[in-house]
Amino acid sequence: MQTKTVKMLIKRELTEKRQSLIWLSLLTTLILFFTFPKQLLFTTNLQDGHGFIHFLFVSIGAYLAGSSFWEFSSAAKARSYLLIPAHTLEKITAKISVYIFGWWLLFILAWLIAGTLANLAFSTIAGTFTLHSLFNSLFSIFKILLPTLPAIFLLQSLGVFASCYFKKSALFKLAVALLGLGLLIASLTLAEVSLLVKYFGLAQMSSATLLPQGLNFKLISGLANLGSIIIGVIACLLSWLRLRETEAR
Amino acid sequence: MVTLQNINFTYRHHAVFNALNLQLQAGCIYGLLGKNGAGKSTLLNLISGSIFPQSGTVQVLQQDATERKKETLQEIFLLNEDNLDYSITAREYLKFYAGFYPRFDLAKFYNIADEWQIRYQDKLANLSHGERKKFLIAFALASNCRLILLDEPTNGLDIPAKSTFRSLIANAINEETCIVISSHQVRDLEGLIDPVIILENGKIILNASIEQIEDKLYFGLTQTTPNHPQLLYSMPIPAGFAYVAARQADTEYGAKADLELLFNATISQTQAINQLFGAQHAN
Repeated sequence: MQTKTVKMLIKRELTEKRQSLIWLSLLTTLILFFTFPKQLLFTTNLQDGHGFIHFLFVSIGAYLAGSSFWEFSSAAKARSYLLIPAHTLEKITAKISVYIFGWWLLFILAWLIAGTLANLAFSTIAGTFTLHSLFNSLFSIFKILLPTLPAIFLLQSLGVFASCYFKKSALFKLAVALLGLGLLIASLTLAEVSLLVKYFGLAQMSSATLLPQGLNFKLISGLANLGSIIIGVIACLLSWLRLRETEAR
Repeated sequence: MVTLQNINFTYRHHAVFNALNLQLQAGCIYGLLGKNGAGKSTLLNLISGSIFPQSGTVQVLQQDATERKKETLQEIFLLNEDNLDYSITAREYLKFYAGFYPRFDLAKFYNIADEWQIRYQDKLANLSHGERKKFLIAFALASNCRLILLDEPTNGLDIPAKSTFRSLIANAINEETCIVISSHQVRDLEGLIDPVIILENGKIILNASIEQIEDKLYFGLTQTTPNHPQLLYSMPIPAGFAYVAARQADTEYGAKADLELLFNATISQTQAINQLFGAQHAN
């Protein structure tokens, strides 16, 4: 794998998708700009807007990842892409760099711009502007996003895989697949629980007896994050394998 | 350079190729002729590795084309106007794609582009059909790939551009290069291609060099209805009739091979042509 080829592929991607990337960046910046006043004026710990920020980060990120292999929507564009002289690994690396990690950088950039502008506009009006508060609010993004990164990485990797696997409406099909998988897991869990209730008297057990004493939630969360990263990496590997056998039909 | 062995290819439940065999050698400009839907583009796509056969093997430069190895792709250029992304400028296309071909010759590109007055500052969408074709032909030749596959390259070219195209192609060929030109406009390739491959309903019904064709066939002109005993095909022309017949003796010398006559004769008299050229020429 050559870094030079990956760079060329990234440049190509950014050029060909520049319009949608610019629009998404502007939209994100604008939305973030208007979420700032609430945090700046009415709260001191920036907690209230987190849910929305996570939603914005995840939804646009998933949308971008789900459209990463935009070439596959037409046979001609797919042919042109597949015949670019580059290893499949280089192609998938470029896609992941742009549509997963590129989005993270873009979001942080949008936050920094929106945050600076919002601080200047709204805090000045309220008379609460200080450099300290500006930097505090700007750099809070890392604290806000860091815990969600493994989960968003998982979701985006699945989006990239879906985009590579399904040639059209990848995100919708992924959502249907995930919903189906969720229903299957839920049904199996329900069936298991009903069996446990029927044959092992689970109904008599309390949550205290079910959960071990001194359960380490930090450890569980750590394991969940690790699991997300591993599944995300597997999804990327599957995308690579899928790309190798994709035809321009 | 290219070997297709026992290729079976089906598209939307329609068998395009059935046990197709073909070998292409370096140093030749192959003319791939056929009617619309004969399978010309599919064959080029199979060779390029953008689609895979259901069975059989496609070897390009001793590599399996379906593996699409970087080293192999660096040696293949498939010209197809549909492949272009019209949202970028010609200059951007050049900037982002030329780097993928290690022997890309920018000077050569600009020479051809200047000769054809290609407006590479404009978006590809704003270029005319012919201008996009010229741009792609210039790019294909400047890529210095060893295998250049041109799918209907002369469609949309004006008459002076067609002449330039012919001289560019003639100059581009060398002992290490193979050019395959697919077209249903046979006149555009006259005097340029050698050998000639004619496809009909997914079968190669003729695969012969111009020398072999002129050795076996007699191309003649007559003012009256042709009465050659071995007549295969004739068509009226303003001055009389042009015809093609099986050559009777070494002493019988006719005009140069006429691709349109050859094509029509092959399509209408496939069996007779196969008998003349032997089974090894067709699959």
